[in-house]
Amino acid sequence: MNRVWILEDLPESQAWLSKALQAVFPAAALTHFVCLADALAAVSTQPGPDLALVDLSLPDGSGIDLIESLNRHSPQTLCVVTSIYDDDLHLMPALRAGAQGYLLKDQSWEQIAELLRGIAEGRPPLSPAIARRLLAHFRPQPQQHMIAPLTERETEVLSLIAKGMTMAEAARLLNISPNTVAGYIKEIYRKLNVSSRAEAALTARNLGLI
Amino acid sequence: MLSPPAFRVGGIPWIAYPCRTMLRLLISLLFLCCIQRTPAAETPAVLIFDQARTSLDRSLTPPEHFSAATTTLPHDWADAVPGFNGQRWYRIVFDDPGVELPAVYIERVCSNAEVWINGSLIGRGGRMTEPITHNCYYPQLFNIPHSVLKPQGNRLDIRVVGYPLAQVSARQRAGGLSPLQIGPEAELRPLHDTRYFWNITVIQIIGASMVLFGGLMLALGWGRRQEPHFLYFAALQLGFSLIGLRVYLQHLPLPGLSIEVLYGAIFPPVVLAAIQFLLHYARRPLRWVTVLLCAQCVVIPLALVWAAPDHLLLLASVAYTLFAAEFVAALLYFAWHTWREMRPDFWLIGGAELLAVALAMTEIAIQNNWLLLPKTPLILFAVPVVFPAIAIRLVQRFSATLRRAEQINLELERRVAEKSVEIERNYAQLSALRANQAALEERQRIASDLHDDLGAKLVTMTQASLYANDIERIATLARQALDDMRLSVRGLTGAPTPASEVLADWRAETLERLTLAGVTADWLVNDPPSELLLPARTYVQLTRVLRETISNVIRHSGASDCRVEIQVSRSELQLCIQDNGCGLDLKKKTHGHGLPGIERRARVLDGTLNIDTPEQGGTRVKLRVPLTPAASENLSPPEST
Repeated sequence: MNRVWILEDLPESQAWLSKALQAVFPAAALTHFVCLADALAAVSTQPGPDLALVDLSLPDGSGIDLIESLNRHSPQTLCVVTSIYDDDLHLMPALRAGAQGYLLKDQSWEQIAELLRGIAEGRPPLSPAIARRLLAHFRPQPQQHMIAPLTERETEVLSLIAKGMTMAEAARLLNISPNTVAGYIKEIYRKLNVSSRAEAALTARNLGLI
Repeated sequence: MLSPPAFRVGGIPWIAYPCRTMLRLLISLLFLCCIQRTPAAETPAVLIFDQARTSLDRSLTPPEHFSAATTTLPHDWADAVPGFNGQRWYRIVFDDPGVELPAVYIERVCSNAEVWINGSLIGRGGRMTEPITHNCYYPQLFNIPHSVLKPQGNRLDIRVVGYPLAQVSARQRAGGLSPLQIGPEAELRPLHDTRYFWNITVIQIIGASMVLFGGLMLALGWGRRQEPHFLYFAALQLGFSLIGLRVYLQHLPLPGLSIEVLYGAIFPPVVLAAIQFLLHYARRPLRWVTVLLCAQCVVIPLALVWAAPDHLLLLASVAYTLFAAEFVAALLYFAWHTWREMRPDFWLIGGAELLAVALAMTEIAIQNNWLLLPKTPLILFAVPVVFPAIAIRLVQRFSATLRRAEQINLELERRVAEKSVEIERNYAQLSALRANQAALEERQRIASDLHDDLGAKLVTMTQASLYANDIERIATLARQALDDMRLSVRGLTGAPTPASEVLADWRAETLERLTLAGVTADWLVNDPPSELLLPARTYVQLTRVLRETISNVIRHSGASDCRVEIQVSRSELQLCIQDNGCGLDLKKKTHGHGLPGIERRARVLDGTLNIDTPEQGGTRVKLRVPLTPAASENLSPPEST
């Protein structure tokens, strides 16, 4: 992680996140944005970062816009939502927009550091509530061609996590390594983004927008 | 032979022109008397014979010997030869009238006759022996073949069979012979047809219309049996059409006497129907009258049988007079009540009935020979006037009732609609009120939650930052405050959550926290009943209890193992968290253990909280919370997209 962006309007939170980032990626160059407009402007003028920590509620809009923009212009960027809400209602839209993980700002910076490390190494977090949402999202529907359907294993992983199993438990139950489980989860996030975009395109076409 | 006039009136088949026929009939009725007095006999070509010689010879062919003296025609046996029963020969002598198609016309012969000319039978009206054909109302016209005629001194012999007055129940049906007319058929035919029309066709038309009207009333009354006067009126009309049968029914397979008795038996039920109609119409039925009238229906026929043959007329006359008296009494009773209660009906029905009474009186007068009127069934002529008038009034009343019922119905519907609107409005108000109430309660609950949880923590934070300057403690409190807020938000926005999902969330969180803290976790949970929903509030409060208890285990107990047991049924949730740590000194209320908070939440959920230190060590927190159906009632399961 060489270049990291932080979109966060509260200075204390910014400092807090910076501290955790420096602990995990000492060499990274941090760029701070305090409003959405600046960050969006940077997407078109600067090379995309390796990692972006994005707050959702900003004075001039939602961080989801930045996630979408980065996803389009800089697909290699790893987007992580920083929020004070961990529930699926708040997080699902961000995950659909292409975020690959989330962390809570009030966690201790050690916890944040651990989570960031996990995300960076391809072990994104996944709560049962979000797993249930994902299952519902990918549930095969009649007469609808799923653009990015889940594999059987991916569905199994989601089901176990939706029942409250930890990733380690899921790995043990499925007789695979925790890293493989993490890989599945990463892949599920990617597919969520792909299918969400396809869905949006479909909706737009149905509405006559494109 | 009797040349049947068929059903022809004025050369037009009447059945094809019923309206015209009826019109003609009604107009003709007005001029009834005039027409009857129009004697076609004044035509010079027609010879009228009102004198005849008679013979009581029982031979079936014209006898040799006739009485020397002549008898005046009409020869009514009732007056001239009372009590005579059987057959009687009449003879007149006439010259060839010298006309084309000569014919002999007998206006009335009762019950039946045979006509012979010069010893040759030229015609008869039907059976001459019992059961004798009943021709009393039928005029007879016989063509005379030229071959049997001599220029002069032709003998016309008529054999008449009939009954004495005493053996019939009406004077019109006693034996007798009217004056005879001989002349061209062309002259006599119209006379015959007119008489036939008035004696027979009119009665048949009336009978048919009675059946029609009666059927109509029957249908009407059948649908409205709570107003029996419709049915009685129908019975009255049908009864009258039966009475009319006697006039034109010629051939019956019973002797005349039996027919008379049977015929007399028809009257009491008809009278019953008439009187019951009046009483029910006036809405004043009398039970004893009904009983008496029913008894009469049995007694009168029996009396007729007893009186037959010789006192039949006497008894019939008594019965008719009795009927008339009963009817008049009923009419007076009817008039008395309708005059006071239903004035329009008084005039219409009363008038019509009065006409009927007048005609009935006339009929009785005829029967008793007080009045000399043509021997037509006069009472039957009242029928076309009286019954339609009543029928029209009845139908009018029926439709008025129907209209009123419809109006009431409409009014009722309108009121029901109004009431429905009102009820809906009330219901809307009520629901709004209830929603307001619920919102208010919810707001108060949130307020108290915020106050008790967030407020208390913020106060502690303030004090800790000002006096203790314990930064670590402040950070912990702040994190807890944020946690509380998150849960509060979920409680605010959350729909009831399926118990299975709640348990999954708890499991993930608890196990993650315990594992991170290096505590071995043991999670023992039963499968919750399918479809069981936990209200958001129960979910939030229980989550806090679980979270704070686990925090205590991690922070204060120093335990290496923690066992979480949850039992969920439809009615109850039991939570038991037990560790193997240092145990809790319950007497020493230590800060930061959050026990008051756990206790408060247990209270809020109507639960029972039990915290103890088992013998084998550690701390055990037991919470038992009822899950009333009311607690998970109102909201549908959350959408799963």
